[in-house]
Amino acid sequence: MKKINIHSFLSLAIVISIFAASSVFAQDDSSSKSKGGSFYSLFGLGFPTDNNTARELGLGIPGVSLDNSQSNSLYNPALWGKNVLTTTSSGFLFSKFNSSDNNTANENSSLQANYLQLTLPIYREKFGISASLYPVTRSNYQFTNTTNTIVTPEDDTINYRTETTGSGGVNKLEIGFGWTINKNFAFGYAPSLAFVSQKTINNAFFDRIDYGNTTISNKITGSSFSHRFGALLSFQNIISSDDRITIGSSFILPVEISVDEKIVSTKQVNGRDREVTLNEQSGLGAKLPAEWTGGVTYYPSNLFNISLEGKLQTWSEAESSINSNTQSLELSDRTKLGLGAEYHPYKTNSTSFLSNFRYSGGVSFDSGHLSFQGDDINTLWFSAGLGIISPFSNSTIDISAQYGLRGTTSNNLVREKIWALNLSVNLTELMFFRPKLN
Amino acid sequence: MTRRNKGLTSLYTALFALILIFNGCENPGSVGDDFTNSPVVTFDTLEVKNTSVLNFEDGYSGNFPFMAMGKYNDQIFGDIDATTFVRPIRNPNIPDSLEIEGNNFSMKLEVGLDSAQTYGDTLGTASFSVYEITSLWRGTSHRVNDELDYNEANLIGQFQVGSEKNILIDLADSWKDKYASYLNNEEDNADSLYQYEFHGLAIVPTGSSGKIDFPNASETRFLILNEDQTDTASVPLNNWAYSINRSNVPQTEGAFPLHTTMESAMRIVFPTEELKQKHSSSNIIKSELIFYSAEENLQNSLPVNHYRPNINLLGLNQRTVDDDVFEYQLTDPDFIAPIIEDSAYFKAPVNTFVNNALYGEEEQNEMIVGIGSSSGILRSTLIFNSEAPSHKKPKLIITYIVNEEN
Repeated sequence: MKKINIHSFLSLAIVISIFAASSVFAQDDSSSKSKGGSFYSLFGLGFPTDNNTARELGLGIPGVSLDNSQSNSLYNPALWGKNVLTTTSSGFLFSKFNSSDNNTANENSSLQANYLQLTLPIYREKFGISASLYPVTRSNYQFTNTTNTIVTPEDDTINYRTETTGSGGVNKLEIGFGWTINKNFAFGYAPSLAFVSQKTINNAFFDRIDYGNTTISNKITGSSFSHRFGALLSFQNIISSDDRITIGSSFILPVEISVDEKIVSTKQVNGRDREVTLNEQSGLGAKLPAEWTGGVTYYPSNLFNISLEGKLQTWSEAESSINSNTQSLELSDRTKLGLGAEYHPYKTNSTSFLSNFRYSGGVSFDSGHLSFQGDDINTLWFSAGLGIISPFSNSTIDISAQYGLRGTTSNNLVREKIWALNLSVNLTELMFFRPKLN
Repeated sequence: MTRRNKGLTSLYTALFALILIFNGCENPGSVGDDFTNSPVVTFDTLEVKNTSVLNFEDGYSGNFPFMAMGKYNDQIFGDIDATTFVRPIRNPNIPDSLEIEGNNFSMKLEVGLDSAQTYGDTLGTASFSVYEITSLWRGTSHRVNDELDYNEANLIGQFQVGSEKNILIDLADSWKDKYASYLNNEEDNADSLYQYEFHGLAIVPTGSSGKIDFPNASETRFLILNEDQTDTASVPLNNWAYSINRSNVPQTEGAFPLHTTMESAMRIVFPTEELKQKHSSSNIIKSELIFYSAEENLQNSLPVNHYRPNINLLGLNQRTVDDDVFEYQLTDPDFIAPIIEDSAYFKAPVNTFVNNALYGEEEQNEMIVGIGSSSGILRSTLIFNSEAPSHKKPKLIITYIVNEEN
């Protein structure tokens, strides 16, 4: 057995502490440290989540064409057939949102566990399987209404304030395979169970003790099956003798989810506090859009690669009959384009400290899935990444920092300045042994 | 530690610090409230459409802190004739210093009146005669409409009440001698004989007195005076009560009288069906029953210097069939409707009842609105009923929250 070194220990400590802090994949704020996220996650099924590793986020790309046989990738099932090692990975996202409209500003922060994935190379670099749990959309907001004043029928004046918090979203539990058919082509397929678990809590606080405080919760649940396909083309010796190019693509079929909506509140009934159902509806329709992702990555040498990738989601066809918050904003097709480059000095024989890492940088533009009177709620991201490679195994810790500008203050919309710190931990050989079959 | 390891350790440390910094920033606000469905507090008023008057003529009126005595012709609540009944204990503590033997003493009745309350003409004088009661009675079970017999042929005492609050009444020797025979009886059955044969005194209003006073039971007592009338012994009350004879009660259109004696109360049918139809899905935060008093009628019916003890709250009880008067008058009400200061209405929070009706197993929808009291002070009010003008009818106000779309 290999001796566990200090870095492996610290890596595990970080993973455990963050899992403990964020209650991995918790569906509501009561069990999560997440406080507030994007204002725009208030609408519809939540804000679409990009489940990238920190490495991919550092590049500003989905990662559909980023061929790497030693670490996980969620975006392209075809890549799972190229894995060499048993790998488990998870990603975490720390975000800070500075939001403003024409009148006021506020600040939210959130801590979220992004995904959990396990890949097993059944036949090394030929056929691999993956099991994963990851969010597709995420509602994560905390919103305070300004103080309101009402006059009662008896001419009493009462002040009150309301607070709305949202949590949950759509998640997928996915099991799939990747198959490397030949050295130029790989294919993958991943069916998944997409399930909605979204909760909105409205609190009202009054300045009169006889009104008390009240809480009402809106719970949405439902599930359906989803299907994802991926393909990867690889070519070598394009321009020089040691270069290569990979072209990747994935496609997700649209999903219709039948959801149940339940509105509950706690009332004192027959002398006891009891959760009562105020309204309940079944068979409401929610839709997830079709998604196509494609891109190309060019590797001039084993020290450098550059990627250009894009994504299209047909949100305009994903109107749902739930969550009336969407009424003021319209769903629109989302396009995301990213360009990034990566440098791998750790593959050199340099003894310099700075040569121990992997560096990346990128920029991406996301048109967003919401619009208001023709204004898309778009986001421009700038990103940079750092990869820490274990000197004793192929495990890695990737860290990326992103700065994003989302939305606009025209039409009194909300502009958000976002700082995001992503961390993904990719454990190989530390805890999993290579299958003897190989 | 190698140079590389030192660098990595620094990175991990920085990472932990960033986690703490990012996770600690939070200042949620109202950014974007033009685009959200703002929860709005809304009101709905449901009329109480079914009311009726209930007359409980046998309300309790014995052994309360106060008694009532006098006459008053109230333009709203009728002609009231209140007679007080008192009976001394048989074996008072008489000090030897009084040197009482046989019937060598005299007796007086000391009546201490409530200093704050007079019902009627506050400047008038009321006259009373005192007679011996000849029928059996008991304070704890005495009802306001119980009529006790008393011997009007033998006047035991008489007195007038003006503005004074403490009155001493000389009692006739004939009655004193009768009391002395029980006082001095040392037989085993003395208490039993006293209980069944000696019934105390009735204080009967006479003439056309224009007010009702309220003797305080704790300040009313009999006095035994020695032969020289230089020393006294106090004889507390054993039983006390009063009866009311109310007549010529005028009807007020659209309103029902309520009395602390429960001679009149109001029955309402809670608008449960309408409530269920309109608010089964509402997030109700407050439910209140409102009752308006006919304040103008009450004020205009009182001549100058006349006073009517006011009330500060109504009591609401769910309808019961067992010992209903006891339940409505003497037990704590299910809901209390305090008067709203400077306003002519009473407001009862009934959220628990509404919750039980909407989400529980509450099937009872009748309530009794009254001002039942065990103080003994006569208080009355006039409450508008379902026949009153719309803005004065009893009503249920539901306060709830809706999400208002922008």
